[in-house]
Amino acid sequence: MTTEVEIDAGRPARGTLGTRIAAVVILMVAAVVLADAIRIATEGGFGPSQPGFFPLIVGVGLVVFGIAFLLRTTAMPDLPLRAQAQEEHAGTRWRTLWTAIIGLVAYAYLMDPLGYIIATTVFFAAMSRVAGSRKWLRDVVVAVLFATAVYFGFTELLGVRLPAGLLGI
Amino acid sequence: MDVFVDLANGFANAFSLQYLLYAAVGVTIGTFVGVMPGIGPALALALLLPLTYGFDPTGALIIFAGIYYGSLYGGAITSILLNTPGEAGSVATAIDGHPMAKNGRAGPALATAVMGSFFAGIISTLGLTFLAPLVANLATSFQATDYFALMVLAFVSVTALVGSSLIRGMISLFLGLFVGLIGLDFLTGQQRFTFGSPQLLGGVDVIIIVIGLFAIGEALYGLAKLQLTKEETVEFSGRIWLNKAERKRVWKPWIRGGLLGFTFGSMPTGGSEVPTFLSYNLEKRLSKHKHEFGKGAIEGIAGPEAANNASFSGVLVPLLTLGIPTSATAAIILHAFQIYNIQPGPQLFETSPDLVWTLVASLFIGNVMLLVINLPLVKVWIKILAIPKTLLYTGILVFGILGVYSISGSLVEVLIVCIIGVAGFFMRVYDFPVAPAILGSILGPMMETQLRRALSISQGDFSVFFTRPLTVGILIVAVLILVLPSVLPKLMRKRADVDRVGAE
Repeated sequence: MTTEVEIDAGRPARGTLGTRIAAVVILMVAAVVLADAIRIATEGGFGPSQPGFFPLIVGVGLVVFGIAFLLRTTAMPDLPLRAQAQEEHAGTRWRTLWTAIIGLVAYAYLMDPLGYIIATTVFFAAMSRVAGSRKWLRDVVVAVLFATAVYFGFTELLGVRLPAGLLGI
Repeated sequence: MDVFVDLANGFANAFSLQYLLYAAVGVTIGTFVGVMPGIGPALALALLLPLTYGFDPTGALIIFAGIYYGSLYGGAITSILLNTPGEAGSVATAIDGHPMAKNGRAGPALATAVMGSFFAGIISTLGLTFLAPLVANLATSFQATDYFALMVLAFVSVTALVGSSLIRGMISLFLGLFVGLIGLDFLTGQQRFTFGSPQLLGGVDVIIIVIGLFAIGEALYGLAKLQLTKEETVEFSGRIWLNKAERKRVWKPWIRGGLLGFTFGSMPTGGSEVPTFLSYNLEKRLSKHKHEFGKGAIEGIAGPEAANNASFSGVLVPLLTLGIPTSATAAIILHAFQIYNIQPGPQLFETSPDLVWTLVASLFIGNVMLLVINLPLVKVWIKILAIPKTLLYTGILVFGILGVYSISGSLVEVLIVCIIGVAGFFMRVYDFPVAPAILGSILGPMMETQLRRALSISQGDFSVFFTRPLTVGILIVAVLILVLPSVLPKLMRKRADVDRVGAE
């Protein structure tokens, strides 16, 4: 679990590991950006006033600073960053984060078929529980009121269309 | 003076019962949203943008000004009572505001923040009134290379002056530039970074970036921390108004903070972070009560909070006269302008003077409203802090998704906002500054346009960037800003350490 204490001194602490993973992810993004920039440049030209010029700069910049960041997490460690990452990692409940992200994506996908009110109510109540709330009844009541108020407020008063879904007749 | 006539016209427009009501509503909603932990002015504006769809441009801008000032004030409440600043601009306020609240002086701390904001707002709006027409005049002679240089300056200053690491700032900037490039190339129509998705052809809206980084990112951060970290809420009690000794200590910091905030806000340095910290350090240096700093020095709230407010009017100078947004808030206001087909720039003062001066007048009105409505109601506002955090953060997530859905209605955009939100979470955890990413995504495309325009005029000759004195001058300043901070902060940090050792 995330709360366990790091005993093995030989392994890097979680915060440090996290920064290294971040550096690798940044470099992966950088690689994708650079690859697509090269494609753009070969198709559209890489001259200074052609569409490929700026993307190439951005791609190269990301790769260069990504490598620099990787170095700062490994060979030349940035100690204040390491300390902060360590502290942040200790205070973060990762399961809540990942559940919240999965919940958000599911919420986005289900909004259309289920309708705004139902999807929002379910998401709201479930998310509160994931975050540690144990007052089911209160959460569900708040969720229903909130979802209904937002739905009618936006569709009736502001003219923003929200999916009606199952409740829409 | 012409500006007085113009401004008087602006007031005449804004002083209808309807607009005053809008200003009051804006300030109230703004405070309501801003007082939620983690929500600052930029996010409040992004989330509340749909509310203005039904209004005329003037009415919408007045509501906007109200929301801005309201959320700034709400942010001060949470910084002081909860120690959770919603935006970079109120971080400095929390340093001394929270200790003051812990000592049972939350009321005077808040009063200092609000009244400081008021005076600084008046100073800086006056500054805007006089400076903006001058800059607009000057800007008519600006060329593409000058604009390009200005944006280089903005990037360099936001990356080098803000945040603790240049490398992380640069990564943040380049990620922002990448997101800004997504979509169709405006000249050739070529698809760039769309990865085959038709929904990406139109690019990623700045609202989505702001909601992703600030709303989703912050709410995820709040949720993930909820079970493992205890937050201490300070009870609000006692008097609100300042006593004589306190009044004597705060008025100079208010004025200095106001001047600093306006000056730095009007330069392309990314809004409020730089002036608020400069103001904090300045007050610490000038104060007779140095030992109180960090433990509840009232000057430590007065200066930065004044600078925070004043920087907004400052930011409006480049926004209105050059069309260059230099902070997240400014980018959202630019977005609002574009909804109404208004293009800020040197011509704005000639084509729609009514709108500009009504906006300026509504800034004055927003400031007054804030003081009249909000300060006496502080006990009502802090009730919002009693909302359970689980519901609050979930509510922010839902509102964030709603904000995205209401501008696009597409699933892809909702997924993009989730990705940006996750990125925002990790940027927060590993201390990547957010401002460069936002500025990069907004100014990147503008910078590319100006670069390509300049080069197509000169037919590919790069020497245009080194022959025009104004361009060269701005570029030299940019280089200085990039080089100096690697030397200066070390010196300043040494001095700060010495201070701290001396105080203990």
